[in-house]
Amino acid sequence: MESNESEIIAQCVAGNWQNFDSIYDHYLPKIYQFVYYRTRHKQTAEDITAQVFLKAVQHLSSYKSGEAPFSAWLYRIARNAVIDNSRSIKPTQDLETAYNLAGPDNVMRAVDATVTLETVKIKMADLSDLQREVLTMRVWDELSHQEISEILEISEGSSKVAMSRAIANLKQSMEIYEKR
Amino acid sequence: MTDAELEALVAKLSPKEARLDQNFKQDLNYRLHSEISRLGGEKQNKSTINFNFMNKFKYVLSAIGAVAIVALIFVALPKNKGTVLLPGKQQVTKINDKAFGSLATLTVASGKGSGGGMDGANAFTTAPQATANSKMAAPSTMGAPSSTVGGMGGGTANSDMLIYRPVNYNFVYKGKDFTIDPDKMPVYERQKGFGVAVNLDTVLKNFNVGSFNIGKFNSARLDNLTATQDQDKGYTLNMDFREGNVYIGQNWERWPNIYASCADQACYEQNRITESQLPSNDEAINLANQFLTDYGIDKNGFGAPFVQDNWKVNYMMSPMSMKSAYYIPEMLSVIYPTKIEGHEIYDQSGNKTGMYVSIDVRSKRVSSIGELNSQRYQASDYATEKDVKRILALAEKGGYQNYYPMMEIGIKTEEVQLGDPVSGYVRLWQNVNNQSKELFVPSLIFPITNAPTNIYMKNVVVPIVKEVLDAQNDPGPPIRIMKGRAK
Repeated sequence: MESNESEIIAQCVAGNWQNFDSIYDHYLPKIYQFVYYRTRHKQTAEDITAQVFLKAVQHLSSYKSGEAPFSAWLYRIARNAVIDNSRSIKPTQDLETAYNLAGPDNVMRAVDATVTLETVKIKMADLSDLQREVLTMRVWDELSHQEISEILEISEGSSKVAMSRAIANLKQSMEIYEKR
Repeated sequence: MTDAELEALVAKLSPKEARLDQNFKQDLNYRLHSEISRLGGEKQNKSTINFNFMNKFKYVLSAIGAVAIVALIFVALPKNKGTVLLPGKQQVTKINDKAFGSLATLTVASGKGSGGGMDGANAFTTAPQATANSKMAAPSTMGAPSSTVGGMGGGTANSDMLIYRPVNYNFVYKGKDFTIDPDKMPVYERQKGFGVAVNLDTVLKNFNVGSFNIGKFNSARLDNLTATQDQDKGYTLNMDFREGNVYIGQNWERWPNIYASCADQACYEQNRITESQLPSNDEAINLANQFLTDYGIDKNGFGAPFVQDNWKVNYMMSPMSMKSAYYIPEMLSVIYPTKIEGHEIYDQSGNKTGMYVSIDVRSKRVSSIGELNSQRYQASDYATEKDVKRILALAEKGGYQNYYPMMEIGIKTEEVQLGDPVSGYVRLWQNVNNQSKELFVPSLIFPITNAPTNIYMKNVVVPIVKEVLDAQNDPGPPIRIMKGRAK
């Protein structure tokens, strides 16, 4: 996909959308998953995903390939849309609470109902925003540190450090928990 | 616990039910292509045909053909977004030059009643019947500028016959010089059907009523499907799988008919629509837009909607004493002009044509939608006519197979001024082997820039495909008509 992605994007910017569907097919599941993981609500995730792609189509001419890969540009739109959505749900909510929107019951339907998992979930909420975001992007969305750095507009090194600290903090919390 | 084990636990916390709904995927894809189409249209409008009015204008095709429009029309039942019945994403397939064969036999009306106008007799029936009969016919504005020629009208009633003021028209081109640069241009043919497999064979095979077993009809296919809402002010949905179009009309049994109990003419007169009952154009367009939105019918692939109000030409001119006797239509139609690769489609009378939404004036409700067609086309290049004089000569005769000026002696002659042309496509038909083909031919659209008496044409259309013009018999000079009855 990456090999001819920039070419297709350039065609679309020039008004030739003939190959747009390949971009759509490639990114729709990823963006939907990204949004769904952070909203945990099917209809909301679909609405936001639709907004993301409509915005992308409408503003594609503003995308500058030299500045960031298309994927990062698209994920950034998605991330902003999720943040906007969480604000609209409750003015004081931020991404942290958006992440926590689902109750344990919802989560436990999909994962093994173990105390350990529930503990990890609780401890993840204690991480800093950046650490939690890097951790979920890395583990859930399987994004590279380079992609994460471009989406969050931080250095690649900062992404790696945040990830490392997230894991360290979680381990520490888990060890404390297990010693009880 | 290792880092990897911890990451695995975190991974397990991701909601595994994040399954992408395929209906959502399809819906969004349609929405995006509609948006792309809209953006493409905007972009194209800004650079519409590069006319260079120095001394000549240049008719540049490349600017038009560059943008691939991918529009869509789909029908989904309300509250059921996933049910796509008409996935007619606009698709244009380029094929060899002159692939549609000879264009010498094009006609201005379909032989099968798909589009075009009704005959003059039906046009003057009362509105409900007229609309019911014109199931697949766009409310037509066909006809000559004056009311001397029959065959006018369509889904909406017209009462031109009330006031007949014969006028001779003299079409005069007042625009700037121009040239036609492209040697060839695409002609489009709409492909029949919806382009998707609709397998309803089992319905036929299992349809067995007593001794009559339809399943015995070998190789029978289901061409039409009609579904009716059995409720007050319900609709009937008709899908023509063979032609690839959808019609939505009233379920007549469940709509009130104010004339049903009328036993005499006085009753009809008493209940006729008055001018004050007519919705404004904006109101009519809003009603139509809302209906399309409610029913999930995408309008992005169409041009700006307008109300077809040609009947008002004569009504407005009639004296106050006559206005009360004037038949005001019970239905108004909002037209959404079809666009193919950004080009708006005209009928041969110079009116934009496309999907129509009829509004029942009395109830202010949408009564029907027609010309909701699948949008699959083939495009084949044909040689253009480069002789501008020939084009202008046809324009000054009122356009392609349209108005033949009858120079009636002793009556007023008015000049109809034609301005600088724009490009468009005219919708014509070709009957081949008992099948009606719908073709769209590149044309120049000359706007009528003055407002002559009694004329409701807005444009004069001249196709610029040489073969089409060659096939048109030269009508020669105007025929002079003597006053008085023939003996």
